[in-house]
Amino acid sequence: MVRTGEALSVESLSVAAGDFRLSEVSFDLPAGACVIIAGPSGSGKTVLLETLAGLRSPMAGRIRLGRRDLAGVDPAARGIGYLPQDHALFPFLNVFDNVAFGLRVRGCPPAETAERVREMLALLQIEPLAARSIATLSGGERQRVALARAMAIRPGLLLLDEPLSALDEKTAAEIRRCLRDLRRRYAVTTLHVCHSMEEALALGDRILFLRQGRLVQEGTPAELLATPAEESVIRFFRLDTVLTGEIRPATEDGPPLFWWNGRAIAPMAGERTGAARVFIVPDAVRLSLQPPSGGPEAAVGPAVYWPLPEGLGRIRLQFEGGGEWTVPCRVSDVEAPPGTPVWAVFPQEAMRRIGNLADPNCGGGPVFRSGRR
Amino acid sequence: MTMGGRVQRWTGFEIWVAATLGGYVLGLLLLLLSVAGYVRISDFADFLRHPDLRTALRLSLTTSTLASGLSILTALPTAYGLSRGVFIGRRALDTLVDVPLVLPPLVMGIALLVFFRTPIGRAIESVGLRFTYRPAGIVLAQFLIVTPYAVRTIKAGLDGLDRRLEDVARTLGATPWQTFRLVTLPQIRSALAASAILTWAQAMGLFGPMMVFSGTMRGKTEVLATSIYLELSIGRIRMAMAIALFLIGVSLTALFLFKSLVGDHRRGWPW
Repeated sequence: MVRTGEALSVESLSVAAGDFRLSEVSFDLPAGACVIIAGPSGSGKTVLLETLAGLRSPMAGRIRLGRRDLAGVDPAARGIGYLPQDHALFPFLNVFDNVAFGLRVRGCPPAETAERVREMLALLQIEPLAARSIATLSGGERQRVALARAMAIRPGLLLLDEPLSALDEKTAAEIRRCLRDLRRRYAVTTLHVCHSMEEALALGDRILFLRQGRLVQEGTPAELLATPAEESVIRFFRLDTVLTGEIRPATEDGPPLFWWNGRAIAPMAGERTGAARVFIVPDAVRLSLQPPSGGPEAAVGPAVYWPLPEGLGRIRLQFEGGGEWTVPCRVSDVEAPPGTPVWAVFPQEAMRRIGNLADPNCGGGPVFRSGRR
Repeated sequence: MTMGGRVQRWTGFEIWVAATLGGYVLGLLLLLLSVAGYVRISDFADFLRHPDLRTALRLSLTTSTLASGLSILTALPTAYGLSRGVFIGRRALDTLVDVPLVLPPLVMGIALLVFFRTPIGRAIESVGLRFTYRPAGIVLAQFLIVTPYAVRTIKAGLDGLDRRLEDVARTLGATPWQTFRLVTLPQIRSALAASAILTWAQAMGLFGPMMVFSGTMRGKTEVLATSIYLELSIGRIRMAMAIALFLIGVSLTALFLFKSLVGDHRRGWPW
């Protein structure tokens, strides 16, 4: 039964859950990877996990784990560890029996069960809790027990549904360390649902971003931060380097221009004219006391700036025409005290038009959602 | 006394609630006490010494226990099906299960009597399963009437469970049967115990269906509830009252146990 992480492949998976539809979701996870599923609430993250665990039947699509096709495979035979939100520990069993549950129902001999349970308890540093009742445990302890219980069966895939959401900062950090240790030791492939940006950036090799039952974007954290596919991704990562303006046709033969706050900011080649929202990669922004005259750089301003608390390495800009940006600059980069008017300068390549949510070409797609969820 | 433990002065609303509650309970209490006042200790002694009544007591205890056991065995899968099943006509089935709750018990007795005159009923009796005018008939009538109470209690227990515990058990490798036995059952233990007590106490007090279906033959198909009727009919009022008081005691004890198991009373205010 010893198994390290297995590769997961999901092809055009569609699931109906009441009025909610998960539509045509496809992705691949290499063995041992840790992938974050992010997205606003009601995006189908939990439905996706439940379907992978075999607790919901898909309407269409294929799920492969390792070499097996999971179509019609009983949840008990999948070898997938599943941690639902708020742990779902068995309150009528003590810690040891909770962790031993999976091994016992599989008919693992008592001696081996005890040994494996001890091993998991030791790994998660909860050995002293073995005889305790679940009701007496703290949130962090419960999370460790739930992890130990899921990992005791040596799953090929671990599904985590917001395991850190109800924990305080210190406990969450401890559990993050536990998760890293577990992955290092068992190389278990992990799908981790989270709705906190910090968690997503800290834990994921890759991020799958879902909205309204559709896979909106997939990529490394850096890719999502630099080129968010749509408004919901920008909002999730709490990015605010966005300008709301208009793309107007050029006066002569040149490319159309993006206008903001009554000024032409930069050419936007190949873009349709009309109202537009433009995202600027925050890393590309620098601050200047004067706007550059011509050249390949664009500038917006003036704005007053003040530093965000020490250590964050970020600066807040407040534009005269309205709007605020948070950019990764340091006070020392600006040769003027806070409060001085400055310009945000960035290369034109750092500008990306944000997909209109109603535009099917931009990942919005038809909206299946109605009513609840 | 304050309501909710915080209000200092009584408002008109609270006086109305307290007066109604107090008046109702007082009425019930007077009713029970009037029975108790009628009975002397010697009547109890007579009751417990009377050979026919001792037989009736024994039969009451045996039939009620059997009926209660059978009702739990039937109610458990029925309640599980009604709680977890996804099928067309579930609501209709749910309603049908409740029918004995609202039917006068006497009607159930008549229905049984008629049923065993039909070809199916006759076939059942012809293979040796005889119910009419026999102790087995008492158990059958009690079982049919009390089972809905068990279904309700167990279903309420099942409906209140966190389904994710069962989901997790399945992903950990448990079969549906293992999940039911190891995860579902331990969580509804108190609902099971409560329904056992409730059905048992109900079965002890049933009288109507016995009158028509199993008869009231002294020492043969006589249960305590029938004894009260028989004693009254021959004018031994005090003996009837002694048996009645005994049944009242049984009901009170059972209800108290039921309530403490189901735990539906307010915390810190068990009465």
